[in-house]
Amino acid sequence: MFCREQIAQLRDVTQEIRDRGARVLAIGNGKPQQAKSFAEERDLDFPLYTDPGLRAYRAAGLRRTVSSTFNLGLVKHGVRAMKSGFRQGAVQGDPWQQGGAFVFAPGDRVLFEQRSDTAGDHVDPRELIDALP
Amino acid sequence: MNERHPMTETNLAARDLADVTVLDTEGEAYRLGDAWSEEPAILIFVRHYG
Repeated sequence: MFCREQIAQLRDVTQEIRDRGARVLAIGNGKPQQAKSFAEERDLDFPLYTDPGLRAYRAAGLRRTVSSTFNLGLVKHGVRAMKSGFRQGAVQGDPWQQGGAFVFAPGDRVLFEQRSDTAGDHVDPRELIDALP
Repeated sequence: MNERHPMTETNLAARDLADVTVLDTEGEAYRLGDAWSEEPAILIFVRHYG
């Protein structure tokens, strides 16, 4: 449910990102066919890539842990997401891999980085847009 | 609690990611660094597709 909420929030701001002369892309893990199904189902208007070997997740320093998945933060985020009407579908990909968000610019400049600790712990898209030059 | 890295470490994540290739929805390889070589890019790593 958390992934769908995050993707829905991003769809609302995709045009604004493009108007600022930037692009947005998402990276998940699992098989390309799973990514394709998800992208079509969600009618994404930005690219979705997949990193089945988790090499990009590791290079980005994103966390992978059993213990961070089960905590009170998860309960709080779950309540918020359920109130928004989202429901958890079948999980595809590594269930212990946490996500994050980055804003990069030419020259390998890092304008923003966030690495999540828990499921549902994802950044507000407004923070990402505010990080754009 | 989200971790915000201090500015002194900022070049680390982008350079490490630039040469990593991922797959598009057709299974074709894509070099991540191409995303921000010409314009700023927002990269979202999702936790899973559920």
